[in-house]
Amino acid sequence: MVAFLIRRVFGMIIVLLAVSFLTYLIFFKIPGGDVAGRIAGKTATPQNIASIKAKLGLNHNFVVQWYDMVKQLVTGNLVSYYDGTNVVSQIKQGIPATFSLCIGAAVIWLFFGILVGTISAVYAGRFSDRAITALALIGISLPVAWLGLILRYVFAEGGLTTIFPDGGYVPLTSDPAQWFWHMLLPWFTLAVLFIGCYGRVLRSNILGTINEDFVRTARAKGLSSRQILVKHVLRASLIPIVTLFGLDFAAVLGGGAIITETVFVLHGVGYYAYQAIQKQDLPPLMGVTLYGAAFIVVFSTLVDVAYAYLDPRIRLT
Amino acid sequence: MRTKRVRSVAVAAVVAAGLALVVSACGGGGGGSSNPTTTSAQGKTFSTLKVVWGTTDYMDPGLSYRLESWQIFQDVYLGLLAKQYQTCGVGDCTKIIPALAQSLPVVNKAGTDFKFTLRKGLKFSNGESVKASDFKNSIIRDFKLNSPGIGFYSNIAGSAACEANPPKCSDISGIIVDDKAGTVEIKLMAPQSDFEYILTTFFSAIIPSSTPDKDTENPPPAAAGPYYISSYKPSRSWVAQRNPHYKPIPGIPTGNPDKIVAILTDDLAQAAQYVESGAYNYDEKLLPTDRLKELQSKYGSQIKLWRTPSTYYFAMNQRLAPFNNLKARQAVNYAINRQTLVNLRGGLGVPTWNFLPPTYPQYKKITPTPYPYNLSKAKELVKASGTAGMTVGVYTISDDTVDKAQGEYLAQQLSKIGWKPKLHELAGANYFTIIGNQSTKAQIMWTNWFEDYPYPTDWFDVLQNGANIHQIHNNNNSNVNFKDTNSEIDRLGHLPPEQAFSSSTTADWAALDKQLMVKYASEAPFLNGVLTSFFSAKTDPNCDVFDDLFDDPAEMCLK
Amino acid sequence: MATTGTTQEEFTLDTAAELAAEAGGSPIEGKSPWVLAGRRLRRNYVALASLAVFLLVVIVCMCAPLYVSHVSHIGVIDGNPSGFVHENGKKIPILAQGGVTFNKNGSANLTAGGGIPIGPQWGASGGAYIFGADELGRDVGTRLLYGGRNTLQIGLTAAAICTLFSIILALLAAYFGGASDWIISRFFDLIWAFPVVLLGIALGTALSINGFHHWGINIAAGSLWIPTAVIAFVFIPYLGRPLRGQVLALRNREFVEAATAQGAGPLRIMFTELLPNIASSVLVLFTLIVANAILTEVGLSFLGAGVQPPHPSWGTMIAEGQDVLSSDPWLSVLPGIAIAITVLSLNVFGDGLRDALDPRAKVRIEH
Repeated sequence: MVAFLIRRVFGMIIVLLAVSFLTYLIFFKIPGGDVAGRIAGKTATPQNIASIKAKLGLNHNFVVQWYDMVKQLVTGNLVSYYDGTNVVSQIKQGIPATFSLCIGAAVIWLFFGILVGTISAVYAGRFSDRAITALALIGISLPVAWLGLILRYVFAEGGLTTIFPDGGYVPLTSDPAQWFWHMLLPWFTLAVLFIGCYGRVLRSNILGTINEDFVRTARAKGLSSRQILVKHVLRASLIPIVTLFGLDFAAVLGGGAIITETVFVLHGVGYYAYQAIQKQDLPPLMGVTLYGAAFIVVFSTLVDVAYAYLDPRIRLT
Repeated sequence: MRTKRVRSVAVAAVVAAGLALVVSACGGGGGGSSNPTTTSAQGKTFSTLKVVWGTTDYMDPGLSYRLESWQIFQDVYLGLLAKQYQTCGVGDCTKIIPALAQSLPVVNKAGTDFKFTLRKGLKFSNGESVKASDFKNSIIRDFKLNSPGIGFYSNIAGSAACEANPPKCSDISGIIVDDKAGTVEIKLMAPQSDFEYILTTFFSAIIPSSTPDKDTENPPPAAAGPYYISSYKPSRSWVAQRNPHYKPIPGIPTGNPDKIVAILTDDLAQAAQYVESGAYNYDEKLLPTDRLKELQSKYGSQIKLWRTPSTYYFAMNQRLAPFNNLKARQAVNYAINRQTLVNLRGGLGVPTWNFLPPTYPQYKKITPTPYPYNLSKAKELVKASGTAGMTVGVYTISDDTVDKAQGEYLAQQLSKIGWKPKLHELAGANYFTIIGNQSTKAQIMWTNWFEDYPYPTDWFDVLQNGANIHQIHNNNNSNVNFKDTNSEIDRLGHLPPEQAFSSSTTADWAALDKQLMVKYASEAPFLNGVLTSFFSAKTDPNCDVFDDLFDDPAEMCLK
Repeated sequence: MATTGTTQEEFTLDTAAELAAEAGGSPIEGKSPWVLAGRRLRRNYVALASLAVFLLVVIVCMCAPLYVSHVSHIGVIDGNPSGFVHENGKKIPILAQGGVTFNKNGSANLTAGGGIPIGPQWGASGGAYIFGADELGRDVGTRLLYGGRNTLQIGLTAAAICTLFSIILALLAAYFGGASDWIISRFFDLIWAFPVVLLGIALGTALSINGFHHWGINIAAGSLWIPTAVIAFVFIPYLGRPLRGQVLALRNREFVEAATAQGAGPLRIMFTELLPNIASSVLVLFTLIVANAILTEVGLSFLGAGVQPPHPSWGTMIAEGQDVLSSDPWLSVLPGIAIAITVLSLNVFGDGLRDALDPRAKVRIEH
């Protein structure tokens, strides 16, 4: 186990370095043109551009620049080209909104996904199953941006009512009631896609598990259907869900909720990344990307460990 | 200045080339009477004013060049002089009042020497006393920061070294200060009628000499005005509080709210909703243009619309084909329907064919209308220019609905008259830097200009003088460069003070406007902008003072 | 093999008994799994109907250039914001006219709110603006069809490219093992670790604004190839990893050994032995990837990192409509409905396909 973890940590570091290199490649090399001129901001004169070049080390070779940037990020000194704000502190400021959005939505989608999946599996073939499957399929066919906009229009801008707030984030610490109220629409928007997906995955897992020998054994032993369902079938079917959830959760935490954050104007990490991309501002992008990738690789490992723990047939290598 | 981005004024080369500096005079003469002066006449104090505001570039008076910052700076950073705090609109925004100076300056006959005496007992928000040398150091700091405003000071004697190498600026011999007597004397190299106006800009605001020589926003520099900015979080919020050391100065509002709390957003619908819900008192952002009528009927007097001294136009780069050809430029002017462009802005504007906005006394409407909308004429002109079928790069801002729509409209029209437009939509954060860079080789660009101060040099000298073409941070985006107009601009910019507002000068400025727009079709102006102010139900809209470019938050009050 | 349950038609287990019953007593013919799958699919009317819907959408959109201009008489990027529509003898401006008047103190009054585009005309104006106009006076119906064309083109092509590369990489990795497996797996890990959305948007923005001009390849900014390549690239691990896993499982089976013993070279084994066995997975995953590619394209274009203006795609239309959402919701609603129908039909068909290819999926729980 320890050896496994050590090897994984080592692998994680390599992946993160590679991700940072790829980011750098995308934003520095691909667009081309004069970076210093682009970012010299409001006060560029030929002398100023030269001094910016020197300060940012744009005169050095490409690999040295990348190394410098990573070093700055790790020591918390990375600053935006555009307005000189510290990248790490800006990301920290975006974390409450992103975490609120993602954790809340995750709770909802996990709960409803499991509920929906179980119900439709238990009533497989009947109307409720068909109805749920239809809804789930619709849920995963809707573009997130569109769903968010429509919800905003219908429930916040007067399509049907203006009860809900029209986007924006209220910190939990300043007003819990308003925080909750503001988060409802974004939570739903983000969760819908996943509820549908998880519901269907769980349904097919359950239906698949029914056939397994150990279920037949349990039935032969005389356990009731309900006991079988909850104690044996569900537990076995949830294992792949754990994997899925771990990775999805990591992805949205790491800035994958960029569209929801943009549509509802939540100043989270995803929103910060989006603004940086628009301005072709590389340091924040580097910061957010590594932050996101870090979540993914860490959760990947956690998921593998959890999987091994839950399913005795799996052994960590 | 531009609504969105910094304008960097000429540096070095420009200064050397022509001492033409933006002289200005507030629009005004001609039209009706002005409203009686109201400066915090309401006097109804209350604890907190909550406002919704747009994001901005800087909160440092030496660096910021956006309306969003200047709108709060008016109550925070004071200089020797200030523009009068009143709703001006048509006419009468020309008045300057003494701010930190005791009175208006004593000026010599030639108009090249200005003497000021500071008021006694002035203190900054951090407790330090205001000294005469603080003024000089604030100007020098502007140079060290490579501020967009340093070009304003190029006519000051002894500024050549600083203009040549701003980061190394250490002294300007033409500014003579005496801390004990509290006097400031400024010597100019040539007469310059707009110089007093320049002293009202925030680049000339007086901040403590102890302020670091770098972008200072956390918190912003200490202030001598009725408020100071106690915190600023870029793109999120700022808070302004009463300056504990401020003593009332006549003509400057002492301020009704004890505290001003701002939340920053660029989402128009969200901003409006904050105020509709009553959570915030005032929305600085433009109202969503598709709901104007609906909002007006719902909120009536809570919404105010204001005319501004601004012109929105398409700049055409005359260093490149096809716009080095007069016929091509005329074609563009015929191809745009100015009323449609106003419609794209929700109706918040007035079509124009002049470059100068109508708020200026030097404005004279060009008659007959030089370019009535006529697509077939435009097509003919394109053909006649020999550039039909050419690819034309159209630049506009991507993250502002209205700006984007206007740019896309232009592209649509250009394709109808025989060119192949290629759209480049850039984030507002980078936009002006990119189009202000000659190497971008932008051919036609959406842009706008809001007055810095009310004299036409702010328009013609900065934006259409061939001597003010720069490699980077160019504001003369069209690279306009005609010998006769260049020399006329230079002449009109350096008249002795008593001639600056004479009727013949005024007529000459109007003639220059006509010459550039008709004879040379140097730009394609299309509208003068109207801005909106939205007050919540609890806030009293009658307290509102819109002084030339924006509302004054210090004078807002509750019902 | 529980066959308890009340409705027989739920069960599609092709036991020998069932086949025998069908054949009516005659000698049992063995049928290939593909034929069996085809049969099952044919019995699934819902899935077939969905496929028909999807194909209909594709055909209607892809053929748009052939018929649209004859109906609406307006080009896809040509707007007429200054113009009028004539119906019932009335002249209605396509974009509402607006304006202000000024008071003495510089404040203004709005005489009319301008810029609101005309709503759906439903044929009253003879084919123009059937679904109304957008904020630049362009015909929504035309843009919906051409936009669909762009979106579908990008989605289908990206999925195809992605599938092709994933198959190749999965086969190479799993067959050769060792170093190639290590490199390819790390490559998958790298793309996988990169927050997908961020990668897509970052690449899309960087390339869409400036184009790609390196290594002899010159793609202009705004070309449809850019979002296509970005989406294809981003989804490679989604296909590559499961396929690699499958091939790994198959690789050590006897039939591969047998083929090797017969002297078949690696290429032959990969393409004639391994590939057919993962084909059903590939098919199912392909439909999934097409659906996701379409949704990703919509997301990218919505954020400005995909199709560039003035060209339409369903994603850009949603973004453009959001500013006039309260006064003219059609602009955003229509493309969303189109996307939902397209992706839904694809998902339903994909479900049906998966059920057809994997018969064990349908079993009832007894109560």
